[in-house]
Amino acid sequence: MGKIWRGRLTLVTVLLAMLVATSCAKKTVEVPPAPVTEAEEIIAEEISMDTSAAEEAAAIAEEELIMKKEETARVEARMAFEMTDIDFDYDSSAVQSSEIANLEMKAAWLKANPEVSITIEGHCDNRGTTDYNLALGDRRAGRVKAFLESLGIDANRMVTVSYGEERPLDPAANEAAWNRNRRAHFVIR
Amino acid sequence: MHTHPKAIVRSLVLLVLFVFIFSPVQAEERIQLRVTNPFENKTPVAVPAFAIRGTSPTEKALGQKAITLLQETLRFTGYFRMVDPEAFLEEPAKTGISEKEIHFDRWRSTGAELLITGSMTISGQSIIGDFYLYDIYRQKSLFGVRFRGAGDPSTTLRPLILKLADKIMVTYSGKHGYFNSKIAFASTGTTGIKEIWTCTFDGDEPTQVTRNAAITLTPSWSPDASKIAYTSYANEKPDIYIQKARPGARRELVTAQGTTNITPTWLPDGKNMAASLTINGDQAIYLLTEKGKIRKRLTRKWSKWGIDVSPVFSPSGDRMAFVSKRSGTPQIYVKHLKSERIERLTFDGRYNTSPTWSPTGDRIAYAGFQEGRFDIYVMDAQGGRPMQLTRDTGDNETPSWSPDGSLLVFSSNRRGTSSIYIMNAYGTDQRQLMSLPGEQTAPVWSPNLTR
Amino acid sequence: MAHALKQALTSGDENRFLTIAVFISLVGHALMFIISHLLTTSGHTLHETPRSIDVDLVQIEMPQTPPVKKPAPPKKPSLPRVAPPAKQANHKKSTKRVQQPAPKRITGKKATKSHQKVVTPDTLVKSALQKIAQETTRPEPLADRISRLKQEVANQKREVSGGTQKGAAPHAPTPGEISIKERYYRTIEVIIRKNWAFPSQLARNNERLKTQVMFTVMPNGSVPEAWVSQRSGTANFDRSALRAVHKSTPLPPYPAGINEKKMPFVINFDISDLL
Repeated sequence: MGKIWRGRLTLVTVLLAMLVATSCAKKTVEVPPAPVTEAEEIIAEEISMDTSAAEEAAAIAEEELIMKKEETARVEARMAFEMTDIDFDYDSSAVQSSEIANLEMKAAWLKANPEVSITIEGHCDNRGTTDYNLALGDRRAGRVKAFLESLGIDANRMVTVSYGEERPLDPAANEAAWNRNRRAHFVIR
Repeated sequence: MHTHPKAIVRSLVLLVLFVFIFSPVQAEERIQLRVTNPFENKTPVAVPAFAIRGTSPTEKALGQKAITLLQETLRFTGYFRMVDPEAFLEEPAKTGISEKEIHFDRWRSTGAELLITGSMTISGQSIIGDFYLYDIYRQKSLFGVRFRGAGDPSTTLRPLILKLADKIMVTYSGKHGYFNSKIAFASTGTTGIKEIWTCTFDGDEPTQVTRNAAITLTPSWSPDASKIAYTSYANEKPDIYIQKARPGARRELVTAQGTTNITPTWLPDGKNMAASLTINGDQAIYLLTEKGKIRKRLTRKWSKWGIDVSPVFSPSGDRMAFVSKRSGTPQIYVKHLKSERIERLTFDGRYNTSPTWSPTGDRIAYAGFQEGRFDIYVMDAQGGRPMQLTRDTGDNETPSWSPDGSLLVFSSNRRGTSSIYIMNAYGTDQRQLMSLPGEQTAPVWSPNLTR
Repeated sequence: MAHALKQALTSGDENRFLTIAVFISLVGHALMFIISHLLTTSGHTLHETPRSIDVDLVQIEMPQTPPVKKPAPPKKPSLPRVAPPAKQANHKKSTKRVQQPAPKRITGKKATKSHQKVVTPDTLVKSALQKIAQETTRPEPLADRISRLKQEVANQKREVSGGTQKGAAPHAPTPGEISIKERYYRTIEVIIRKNWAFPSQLARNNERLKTQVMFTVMPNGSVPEAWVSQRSGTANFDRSALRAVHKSTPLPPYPAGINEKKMPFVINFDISDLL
């Protein structure tokens, strides 16, 4: 179990890194050094024949670039929403004050994306018993949901599920790993 | 001194009586010695080879298998030590198994106290076994029985020998064994996904019972040991299901009405269940029918974000133990169902969970977290001082009693990954029950199967 | 009396036999009463403090009363009559005995007090640990051993205080008498305990389980009969105690210095030290 999740985590991290890398590249270079497709080759030929057409093409290219930037930002925000977990203290489902800003950002994103509905997963570290942690995970997810409701998010857009200690992010047995495993995790449905 | 002879006689008789009654003769003149604590913690038993009446090599092999199974089963109880056959001076398989044919003096010299002899007639479709249990020092048989097993001998052998073992246990300790019981547990197996498995009391025949391809956990046996209730994410959230305790049986949904539906348990009546459900954000223990209809709420709201989980009923059904966070940390509570009175049972430590009733209902075993480790504790069900059974051996969790109350099964990660272990109810003789791929957790011992 | 006897003997036939029988019985009983009292005076006082003396103690005492104790050390090896495991049982017994009232009877109250001080939980734990180190037959986890140890220490402490009162027996026999008889008693205890097999977990639901077995030992060590004289309520436990006695027979013959015709014993079996 742990392996699968660590695998997924790495995959997501790599994807995120790639996105960041490409967006940075786009900021410095005007024309994207994207791989040249056949269609683009044809356009390039046309440009060489007609300058006005070339200008038009440039405009189109710029527009596309802006669109891509927006798309990137949107994906980034979405990923940030899903990737940032809400942490908890040991054997506690109380929302820590340090996590309030994080939750407010999530609320803001949910407001900006009213069509999105989410699942809030409650997780625990493995220093506890299976049964109790299933219950505790339920409480953690429930409390986060309640907090978002208090920030104006419609309860119908949010579903909670407890995974107890069944899906740790980090299977290691140390304080850092336990910290990461005690979390509410967000999944966009 | 001229007294009447009759008077003398009378007075003499009186005197004798007087002396007889008031003399401290026998009782007080015995030298009193005291012997405290048996030197050996197991009763030595001699189990010589059975006489096998069968011709084929397979039949002979079954005879050997029978002896091995009987010895292993007796050894498993923790009550018996098998005496080394090297010391045997007699071969009942050749000289006879009945009382007249046994030379008890020869068996005395082996140091054994009990002797088991048997003969088995194995034919194509049946086994007939004659067995005797002897008290070597009283020089008499404690029982002589004949068991018949119809059907393929290779499959009837085990139940037949286990029946013999149970007969021995009843004769020896006055109590039935647990040889007809099973243990259910959650295992990640080779897929990494927790599913419910079962095995026999001795760790034999590990069998995957559920094939939900989704996290499946917290198994609980029906009182007749025919069904297992469990929590599964088969529908992407934890819901409660029931399934016949055999592989491939269809799962039936009990309830999915809460956001979280976990830790099902049966009432001793075998019809009603209890479980922890989160309904509208409120988590509590409910009494349910097998179809999931809520009959009653069993724990009351004490805090909006409280936790009430892991209900288990006393064998008589008059009390329910459960885990609650109402005091701020998870602790074990007992609810008296009639009076509705709830009392807190555990006070030591900040984390006590997984309560389980002894078959007699007088004790509760549980897992407690102290000094960074989980250990198994046992406590009087009325409360009192807990007795720690495991120590300094990794995390030890989810205890469950054998049907006779003599053993506890539990999970431990003492050798790295979590596996199923057994110990006697006082913490000694701790041993791994079996070795399987993946992690095994949450063992629960079934009642004896009634056939 | 003689006259009365004569009269009785010469009186009517119907009374004659009865009278003789009664007379013989009376004389017999009186004799038995007197003899048994004379012979078992020491035994009598010892009953109350059955676990009072041991060979090991004798060794400790050696410098103070050499003449009496000298025979003790050579006796020691012969004591258990058995192979290595018995030694360990013996050892356990001895450690227990050390702090018991015996010193008092031999050396007086002051000595007793100083002796009791010597027996600290530490030494007890040490000796018990040693015992455990030898005890390889039982696969008992360390944790359980430790908790059991603690209990043993507690019990032994209790015995120390309990034994002190008992030690103040009025008719203290001479040390020589004590050591020979007591040593024989201890030997019997050790042998019987060594032969006692019972899964203590079967008794743990009933921690105060106690049973009594009576038997008589003849000078050659034979035991004509043994029976359970007080039941525990757990048949299996009673049987195990009786079997322990049966397994131990014949016991070693009386050592030189014991001149009884037979010695009746009652053994209390209990497992109260566990838990």
